Amino acid sequence: MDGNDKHLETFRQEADELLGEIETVILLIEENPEDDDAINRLFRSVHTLKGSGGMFGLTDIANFSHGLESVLDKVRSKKLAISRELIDLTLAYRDQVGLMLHAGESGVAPDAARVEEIVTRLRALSPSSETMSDAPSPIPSAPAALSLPHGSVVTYRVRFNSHPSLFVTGTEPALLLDELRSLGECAVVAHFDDVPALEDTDPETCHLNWDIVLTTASGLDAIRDVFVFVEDICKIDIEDISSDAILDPDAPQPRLGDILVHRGDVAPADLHDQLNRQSRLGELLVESGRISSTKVISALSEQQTVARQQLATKNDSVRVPSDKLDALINLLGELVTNQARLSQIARNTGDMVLAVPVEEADRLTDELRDIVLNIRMMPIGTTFSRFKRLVRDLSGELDKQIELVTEGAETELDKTVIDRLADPLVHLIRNSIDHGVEHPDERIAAGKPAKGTIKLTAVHKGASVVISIIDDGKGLDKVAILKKAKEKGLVPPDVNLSDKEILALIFLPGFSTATKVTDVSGRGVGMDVVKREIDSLRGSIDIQSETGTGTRIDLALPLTLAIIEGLLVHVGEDRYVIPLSAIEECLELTADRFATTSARNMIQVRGTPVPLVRLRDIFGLTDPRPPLEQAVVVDVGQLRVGLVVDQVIGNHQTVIKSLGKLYRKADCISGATIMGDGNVALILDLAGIIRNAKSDEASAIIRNTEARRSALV
Amino acid sequence: MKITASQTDGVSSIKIEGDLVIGGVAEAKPELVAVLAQGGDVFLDLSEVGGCDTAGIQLLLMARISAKSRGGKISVIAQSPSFRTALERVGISARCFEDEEGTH
Repeated sequence: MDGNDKHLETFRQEADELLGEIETVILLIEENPEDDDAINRLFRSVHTLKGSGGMFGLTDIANFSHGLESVLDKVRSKKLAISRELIDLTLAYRDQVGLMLHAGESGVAPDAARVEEIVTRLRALSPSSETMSDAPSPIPSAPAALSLPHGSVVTYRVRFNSHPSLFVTGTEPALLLDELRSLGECAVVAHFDDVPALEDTDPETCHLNWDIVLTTASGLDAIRDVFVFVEDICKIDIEDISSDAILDPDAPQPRLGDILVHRGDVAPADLHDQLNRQSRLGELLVESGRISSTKVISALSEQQTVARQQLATKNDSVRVPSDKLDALINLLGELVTNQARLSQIARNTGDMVLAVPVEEADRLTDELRDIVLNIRMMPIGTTFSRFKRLVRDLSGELDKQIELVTEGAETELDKTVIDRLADPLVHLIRNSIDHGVEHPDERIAAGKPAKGTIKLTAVHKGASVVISIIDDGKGLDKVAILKKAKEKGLVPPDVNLSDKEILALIFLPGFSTATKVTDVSGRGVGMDVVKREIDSLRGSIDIQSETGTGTRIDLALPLTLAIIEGLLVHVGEDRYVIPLSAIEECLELTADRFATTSARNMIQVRGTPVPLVRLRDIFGLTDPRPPLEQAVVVDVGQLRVGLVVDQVIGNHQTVIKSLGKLYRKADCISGATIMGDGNVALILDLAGIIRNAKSDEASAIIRNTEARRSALV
Repeated sequence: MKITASQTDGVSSIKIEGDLVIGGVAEAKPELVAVLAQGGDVFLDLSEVGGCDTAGIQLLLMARISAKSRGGKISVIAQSPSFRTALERVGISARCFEDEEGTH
């Protein structure tokens, strides 16, 4: 039973992927109904779902899929055009199958009446009712596209050498080939070099031979069965080529020459001879008359199948529980730390014999770090495709015409970041749909195209990824925002704010300008939650808006949560790490810096006053200050602040260790790191420091001093 | 199967209509051989081909060899969807009839 459950779980995972594919593809088809390739992809996905659903006894899914498959088959054969209704039904189908798959875990049962309705409407789409009972393709006993753990998928090479009397016995080879295709992924190449000239022969005799490369889980017997009526007169050779070295996933892609030798089409000596002449092997062999061109084409198609399969084998092996990856990352952190320590010792001793291997180990550790961190990287496109659906459904609901344009879907980010980013992005996009983009008539009146555009882009920028949501809607109403903030007492009534500061107000808790609350957004929770979530990912939000032309929101996020680039600074006896991404510049606090301002806690940086925050005060350090302090100017959200430290030490690759539960309340610290010499340095939480500097200083100082002491003991 | 042959400026054209299947190949052979015997290039119009089986395709392959042995070539100038599907099913590249050089 246990094993069965495991298979069922695998099926669910793969089915979920198929549903994702169905959603992506149907939206592609909506954009371009002529896309035959996409229609075929959609058909295949539904077909596979039907087949494997049937295999696992999930007859509801199999029957449901069958209904859709029948309609799609008509679309494929151009008997039926893509319609809005079909797209809606396919999406509804996708949702219901999702519920069917997870009914056990989620407790949400699929809506039987809804399923019935979808089936009825699908049936209505199909012009003749008989097609619904007539299966467009048989439910395969083992769909090759779905790699199930128990039925092993094997690649066979079938050589079908026909006999001249083949046609006369009433056999149509094309039917046999069709049967093979129904078993799995199949590449068929016919050899017609033995075909004689028309005048010399009886055209009713067969002179064609075939090479077939078939990847199937059905087994050897199923293939033999196909040829059962012709095996007496024809020569059928079936060979399992997946066990060969050429299919070994570790081996490099098989070379054409190896395959030809392996198949006995060319002698090794001939091959060697040709290789010495260094040119395209296939062409050369044909030119020299050693083998025919179709033999090379056949071998080439085998080469492609094998290469594809190697790729598939590689892709199949990536399913690793994420806690194992986390453990690996943790261990890597230790290693990086230890390596830093080792390098420092090697430098201090100045021993050349030691220095060389340590340097080598340094390089290897760096490489290992990059590779391991890369394992957790995923293209952000998986989240992007979800939004296509969101935009489609919501704009329909609100009677707006909106197109979602995505760019940079291949940009990679840490999986944790991607997972936690999904909700904030949904919120921001909902906002753009609901508040940003106007109704078509409003847009036309404003001289814009009726169809609004929301652009979702992701680009790499240094050690971070910037995700932008750009709409061409009406923009944020700054006057209304300021008025509202003053009404709510979030801003003193007589204060003047810059545009940037006004826009930042929307991130305050409890702020919402929507005059009426809709289903979609505007409940007054949200933007502050978005802000908090992005902050907790150590990211930042920047918002620009032009009344009438649109809004642009940029989210800058770190590539990974495990390791950051930091600036190491000294205060008293202790060392702290400031995230490099927030740092603008470092200054010496010479007396003339203060000369232009009368305040002790304010300096002029290129004409702008910058408030100073003394880390010594924040952490309650009482030892004497050095005669010359330094300030690190950081940009936190919309605020520039100078952090006063004793000394700036330099860049530091910081492996982040989270602090234990006890220190969760330590507001100014986001984590700790272990230094090369074994000491602990605390990583500053800049947003927390600014909050603290503003609020009740005395209590914050006490709280953080305690946290600091306990963390270091 | 109905075969119509015509000739303009030294180029022969053959139009095949109806089913290109085993039942008709023996009958079609003398008609095709007659056209091929004149030598030169042959244009094949297969736009009206209905059902098509392996033997039917082989017939055209044989004609192609004949033309080649006389220094000419056969080019398909138009083809019906069912002919294209049949080629695919039998595992023959459509290029095979497009251009003689294309097969290499």
